[in-house]
Amino acid sequence: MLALKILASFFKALNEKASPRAIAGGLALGAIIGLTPKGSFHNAVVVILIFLLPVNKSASLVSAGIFTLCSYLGDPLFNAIGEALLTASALSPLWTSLYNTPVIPWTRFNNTLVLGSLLFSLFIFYPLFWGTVRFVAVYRERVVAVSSKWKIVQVLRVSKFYALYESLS
Amino acid sequence: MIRWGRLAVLLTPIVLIWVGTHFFLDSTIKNAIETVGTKAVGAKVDVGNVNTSFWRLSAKISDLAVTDPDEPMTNAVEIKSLRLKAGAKPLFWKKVIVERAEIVGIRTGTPRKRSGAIAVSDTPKEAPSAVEETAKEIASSAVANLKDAYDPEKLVLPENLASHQKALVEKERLTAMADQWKARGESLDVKGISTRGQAFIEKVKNEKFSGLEGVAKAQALIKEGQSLKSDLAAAQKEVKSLGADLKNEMAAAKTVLKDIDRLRRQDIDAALRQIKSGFSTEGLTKGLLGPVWFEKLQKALGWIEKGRKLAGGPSGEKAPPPPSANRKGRDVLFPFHYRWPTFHLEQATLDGETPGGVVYKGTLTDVGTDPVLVGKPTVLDVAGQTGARSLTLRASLDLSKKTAETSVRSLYSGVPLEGTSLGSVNGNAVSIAQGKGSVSADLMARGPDLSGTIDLQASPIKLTLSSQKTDRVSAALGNVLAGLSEATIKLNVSGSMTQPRFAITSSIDNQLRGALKGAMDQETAKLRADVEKAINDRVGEETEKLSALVEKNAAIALDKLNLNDKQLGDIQEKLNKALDDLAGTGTKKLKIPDLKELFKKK
Repeated sequence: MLALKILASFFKALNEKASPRAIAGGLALGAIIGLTPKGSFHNAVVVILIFLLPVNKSASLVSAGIFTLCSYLGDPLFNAIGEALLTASALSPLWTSLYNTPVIPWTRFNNTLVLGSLLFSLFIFYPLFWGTVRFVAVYRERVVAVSSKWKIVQVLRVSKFYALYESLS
Repeated sequence: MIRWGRLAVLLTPIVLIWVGTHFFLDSTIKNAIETVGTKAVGAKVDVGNVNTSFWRLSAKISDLAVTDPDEPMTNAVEIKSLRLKAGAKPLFWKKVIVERAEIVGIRTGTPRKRSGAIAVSDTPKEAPSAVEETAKEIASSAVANLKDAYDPEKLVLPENLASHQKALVEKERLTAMADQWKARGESLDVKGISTRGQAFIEKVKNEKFSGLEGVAKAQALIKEGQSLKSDLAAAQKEVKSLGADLKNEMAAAKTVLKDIDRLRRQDIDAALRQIKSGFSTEGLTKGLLGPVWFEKLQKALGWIEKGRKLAGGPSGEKAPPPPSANRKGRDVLFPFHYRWPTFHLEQATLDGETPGGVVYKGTLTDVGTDPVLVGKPTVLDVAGQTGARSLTLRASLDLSKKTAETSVRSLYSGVPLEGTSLGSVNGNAVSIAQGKGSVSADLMARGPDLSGTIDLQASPIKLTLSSQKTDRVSAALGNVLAGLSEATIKLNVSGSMTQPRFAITSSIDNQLRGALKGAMDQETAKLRADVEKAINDRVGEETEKLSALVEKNAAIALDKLNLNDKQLGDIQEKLNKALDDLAGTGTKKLKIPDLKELFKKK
C-alpha cells in the first residue's frame, strides 16, 4: 500500500504538481542513496538534505528504489573505480590523512564499493538533474498535454481507478 | 531554499536524546557498574554516585565498594572517589583512552553495614581445581588434632588396604576351590573295583582245575583277571592324577595366602610411613603454618589470575573480516597513526590506607584491554609510611609479550601481628599475642610457571597456645611456643599458577624438634603399634579363616586319596599273587605248556 501511495504521489508530481527542478533534485539525491551501500554515513547526510531541501520526496524514494536495483549491475564497475583510486600510490597520502582524521572514517571511504559508487553517483548527479528537468518539461508538454485530450483518458478520469489514484496521491 | 522549520523538526529527537542522557546517563552508568561488577565479582558491588560531564569528557564515581565474596560483611576494596578524564580524539574511533585518573581513599578489608552476599545460582559446581586440591591436602596436614588425623581406624580403612582388598577378592575363589577338593576326593569310586577284585581272588582260591576243562577254566579266569588288573591300573592312575592336580591347586592357594600376608606387611609399612612423615616436627610446622600461608598465597594468585583475565592477554588487532559477495566491497587499510586499544588507562594516581593503618600513595599505569597495542606492562607502584610502619609495593603485569610475566615485590615492615592466627596444632589454636614483624614478598609468574619467596620476620613476638588438651605433646608444644621470642618463616613458591607448590622453612622447626622429640617418639611408637594391630585385626582374621579352610579341605581330600590309593594297591598285589598262583600251581598239575609265558605274550 505504501509503495502504491509513493508511486501515485510520484506520478501526480510528475504529471502536474511539482516543479521539474524539485523532481529532478529528488531523483538525483535518491540516486545517490540507491547506488551506494545503505549503511554508509553519507546516506544519512543525503537523507537530511532531502528532508531540508525543496525536493520531491516521492521522487527520491522512487529513484532510490530503481537505482538500488541498478546498483547490483553497477557493482563490478564501482568496485573497480574504488579499487583503482584507493590503491593509487599518488593518492595514498590523501587517503592516509583522511583515515587518521576524526569522523571521516565513519564514511567508510576506504571501502572500494562505497568510494566507487559514491563517486559514480556524484558524477552522474548533474547530468541526471538537468536531464530530468528537461525530461519533465518535455513529458508534460508532449505526453500529458496531448493525452489529456484522449477520450480514453477522459473516461479514466471519471472512473473509480482514478478516484483511488487521487486519494492515494 | 532550506526549510528551517524542518530543521527544527529534525533537531527535536537529537535534543530529546541529549536531555535523556543528561538526566539519566549517570544513573544508567551507576546501575551498569553495579550489575556488571556484582556479576563479575560474585558479591555485591555498590556505587554511591556517578557524575559524568559530556563536554569535559570526564566522570567521577564516588563511594565504590566491592564486597569480598568470601566474607560478605567485609569490603574487599572500598574507594572514596574515582575521577576519570578521557581523551576526545580516540572516541571518534570508539576507543576510550583515560588520560588521567585519580583514585582517592582506597581501603581494603573494611566492614560493611549490610551483607554483600548474593543469591547463588544453581549452576553445577565445577570440579575442584588443582589449587583447591593442594589447599585440601595442606588443610589435612593442618592437623587440627594429630591423633584424629592419624587415627589407626582411619588409616586402616578397608578400602585403603591392598591386603584386605586381595583377601576379599580371593576369599570366594579359595572357598569354592577348597569345597571342590573335598567333593572331588569323595567322588572317586574305588569301592566297586575293590569288591570285584576281592571276589575274583576268592573265586580263584576256591576253584578246582582238572583235565582239559580245568585248563579252559583257568584260561578264562586268567583272562578275567587280566581285565580286572587293567581296570585296577586305570583306577589307580586316576587317583594319582587327581592327587597331582589337587597338590598343584593347594600349592597355588597357599601362594595366594602368602601374597595376602606380604601385602599385609606392605600395608603396615605404608601406614607407618604416613605417620613418620606427618607425625613429626616438620609435619607439625607444616600443619601450623601451611593453611594460613597457603590461603594468603591462594588469594594473591587469584588476584594475579583476575588481572590477567581482565587485561585479556596478547590478542593483538583483530584481522579484518573477509569481504562478502553481498555489496560489501573491500576495505583498504591505511597506516593508522595511533596505537589505541579499546580501553586504556594511561595513568592513575592513587592514595589509600592499609588495614594496618599505613597511609600510602602511588600510581597505576597502563591498564589496557589490548596489552600488545599498549606495548607496556601494567605497573602498580605504591609506597607509604605511618609511624614505624612502612609499605612499598611494586607489581607489574606484562601481557604485551608472548609469554605473560607478572611480578610482585613488596615489603611491609612494622606490621602489628597481635591477634594473628598462625593455625592450629594438635587441636590447639596458636596465635600471636603481641609483637611486630615484616613481610617481604618477591613473586614472579612467567607464563604458567611460578617462582619466588615470601618471608616473615617476627621479632619480638609472644605466641599463645589455647591449650585444651593435657597430653605430653600439647604440654611440650605450649612450653616451646611460650619460649619463642622471634620467628622467621620462609615460604618458597614454585610450580605453576594452577598447581602451586610451596615449601615452608621456619626457625620454629628446630626449636620444636628439640623440645618435642621425646614426646613425639613416644606418641609415634604408640601410634605405630595401634596401626599394626588394627591392620592385623582386619586382615589377619580373614587370612587365618581362609588358611584354615584350605588346610582342612586339603587334608580331607588328600587323606581320602591316599586311602583309595592304598586300597587299590593292596587289591592289585593280591590279584597279582592270585594270578601267579593260578598260572604256576594250577597248570603244572595239568602238564600243559607254560601259561605264564603265554600270558606274558598277551
